[in-house]
Amino acid sequence: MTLGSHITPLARSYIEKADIVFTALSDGIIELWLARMNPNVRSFQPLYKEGKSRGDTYREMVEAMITEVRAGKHVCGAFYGHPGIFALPPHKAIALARAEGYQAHMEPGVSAEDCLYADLGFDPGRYGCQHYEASQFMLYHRRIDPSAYLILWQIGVAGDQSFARFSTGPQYRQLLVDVLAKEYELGHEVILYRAATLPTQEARIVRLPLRELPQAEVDLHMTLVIPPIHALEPNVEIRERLSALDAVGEN
Amino acid sequence: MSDVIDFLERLGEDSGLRYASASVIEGAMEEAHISPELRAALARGDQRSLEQLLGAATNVCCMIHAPLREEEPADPRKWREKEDAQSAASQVPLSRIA
Repeated sequence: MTLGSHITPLARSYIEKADIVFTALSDGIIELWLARMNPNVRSFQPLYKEGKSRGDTYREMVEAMITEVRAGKHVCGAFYGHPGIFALPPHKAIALARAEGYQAHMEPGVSAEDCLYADLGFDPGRYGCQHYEASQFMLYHRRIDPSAYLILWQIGVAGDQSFARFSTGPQYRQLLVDVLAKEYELGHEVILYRAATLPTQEARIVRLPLRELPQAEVDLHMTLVIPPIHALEPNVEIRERLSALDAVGEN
Repeated sequence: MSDVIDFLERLGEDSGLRYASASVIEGAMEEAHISPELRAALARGDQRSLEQLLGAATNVCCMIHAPLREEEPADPRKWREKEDAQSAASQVPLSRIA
């Protein structure tokens, strides 16, 4: 996630040894850094355009990678964070390559999620943690547990149905607040979070009441963290049944 | 430029520097012969200025995920069938990073 800090030795080795490296990174400085690891690095940035469906962009990414695989090259796709988390093209490219009989492998990386737990100082295992892409959360009925953490990703384009926008504004986030208000009070503290991508940066952490989310300054890199609002509710029936098993020494 | 990238990499991977005080980092920048302009941008955490001074791409889009839509099959097993039915995208030249 952070330049210099979070690239694994194995990921670096794959980048250095590939015949061609395709990149989708978080910022231009990291592009320059990564370009020094291999003489043949191609950025996917030209494939993005506001107004163009990202579905088309992702298909083009997959096509670019598989074309080189079919040409007999060792291809590396370097995606910021973890290549398999909230990342469509890497999964698609690997599935397609394997379907065509090629070897393909995903190497895990340090993601914004990993940085989030460290920077905000909470353990997802303590109360549970739910993750959704913000627009998907709005477009579908999702059942959430307000006694667990709720993390909404890509909050900067919340409510975008076109997949062609690089931002949505306060009115879209107000609709998100309307959805969240069914479970959370408007004064409930939420957190806007952005991981550091350069080692000159600290994580950006903004705490605010839910009602102020529409007017908050939100960009593409930000994530919304909603802490639990209810205490965990004991499941008395199951506890009693577990205790009965314990009493007879069952496994 | 490569000195600054080297410096950023060192800053990221050196536990003695990553969260060091401003004065320690300033000393490290001086040792690395970083130009005053770049040092100022680094000290301010001014990413935009850094990008401009280094000739890096700005306004990089980092989204690589798209949510499901109504026309997408809700059953994950059917995603592959739908993708296979779509024609390959047109070829778009990709930039080589210098």
